[in-house]
Amino acid sequence: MNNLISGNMNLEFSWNPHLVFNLSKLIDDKTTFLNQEPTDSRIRLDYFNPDFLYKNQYLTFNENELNETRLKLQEGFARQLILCIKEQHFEYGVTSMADQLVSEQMNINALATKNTINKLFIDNYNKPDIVIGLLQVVSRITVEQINPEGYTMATAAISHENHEVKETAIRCLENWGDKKALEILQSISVDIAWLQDYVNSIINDIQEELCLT
Amino acid sequence: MSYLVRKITRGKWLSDKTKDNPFDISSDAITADLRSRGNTLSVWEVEQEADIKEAVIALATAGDRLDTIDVVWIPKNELQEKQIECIDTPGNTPIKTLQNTHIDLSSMNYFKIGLFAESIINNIAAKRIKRYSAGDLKKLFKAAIQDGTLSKADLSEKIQETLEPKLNK
Repeated sequence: MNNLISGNMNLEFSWNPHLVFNLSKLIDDKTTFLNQEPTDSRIRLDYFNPDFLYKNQYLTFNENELNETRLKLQEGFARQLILCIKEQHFEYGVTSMADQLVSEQMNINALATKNTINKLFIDNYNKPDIVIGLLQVVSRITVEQINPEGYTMATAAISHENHEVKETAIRCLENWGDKKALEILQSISVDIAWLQDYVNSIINDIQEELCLT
Repeated sequence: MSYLVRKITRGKWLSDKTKDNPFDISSDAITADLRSRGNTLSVWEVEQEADIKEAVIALATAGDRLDTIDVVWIPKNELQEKQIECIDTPGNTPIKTLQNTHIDLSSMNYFKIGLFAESIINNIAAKRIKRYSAGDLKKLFKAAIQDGTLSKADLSEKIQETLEPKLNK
C-alpha cells in the first residue's frame, strides 16, 4: 500500500473488483493514457492506484478518498510522535528523536504530516507537555515547509495560559525569522516581563538579519 | 571567585512559588534540566562574570543546532560548601582553549541534586541568569570564527547553515 501511495507503479490491483472487471479495457486505455500528457486529474505514476475511480475511458481519482488513505497512514506516525515527545529527553541546541521522526515523515508526505501535527496540536491543546513537544518539533522545520500551518499553531499557542507553551511558540517565530514572523511578534504582547524582553530581542534580531533597520 | 555555568530551561524554574521554597521546584525542572549521567552533571567554569560568554560558546558548540538558551551561573565555592564534588574533566567543545574549563559535578545523589537545584533558584533570584538568543549565539560564533578560536568546519552542518546570512524573505 505504501508503494501505491508514494506513487510507484504497482500491479497489485487484482483485489479491486472494479479494476478486475475492467481489466481488458484498462490495458487498452493504458496505452492511450500513457501517450498523453498528464493533467491535474490524471497522474501517470498513480495509474494503478486502487483508490482511483475508473470512469469512462480515463482514470480519474477522488482527491478526498486519496487524502483519507494518506491520513490513515499517518495514524501510526501520530502515535509514534506522541510517544517520542513523552519519552525523549529534549534539550535546546540538540536535534531530538522527534525532530528526526518528523523530518523523515515530511520527506514522505509533507502535506499529510503537517495536517497530522496540526490535528495533534488541536487535540492536545489542554496538555502543555504535548503542545510544547509539538511546537519544539515545528520550530525546527523550515519556514518554507511548515507554513502556513506553523504560523497558525504558534499564534494559537501564544494565547495559551502556560508560560512555557507561550515561550515555545515565540521560539518558533524566532527560528522561522521571516517577515511574517516579525509581523506576528510585533503585534503580540505578553504579560511576563522576561518573555516580553525575549520578544523584543527577537524583533531586533530579525530586523537586523533581514536588514530592515 | 570563579563561577560554574549550567544550561537550564528558564520557563521550568521561574515560578513564584520556588522563590521562597526549593521544595516547590517543579519536578520537570529537576528531571529535564538536572538529568545526570553516571551520577555527574556537566558545568563550565569561568573566572569572572564577564567571561560567561566563553562558557556559553562552549555549551553551544557541544550541540548540533543553534537555539536560544538560558544559562545560570553559580559561585563555585557555594557548591563546594555544600560538599558537591567538582572534578575537572575535558569538555566536549571544538574550542581547544575551553576544553579544560569543563567540570563534572560528581557523585550526585538525591540530596545533592536538591542542593544544586536550590543553588540554581537562589542564583536566578540573584539575577545570575541570562538568555542568549539564537541571534546572540550567531554573533558569538562569528566573532570566534573571525578571531580564529573556532573553525567553521568544526561545527555541525545545521549550525554552519544558520550562520549564513538570510536574504530578505
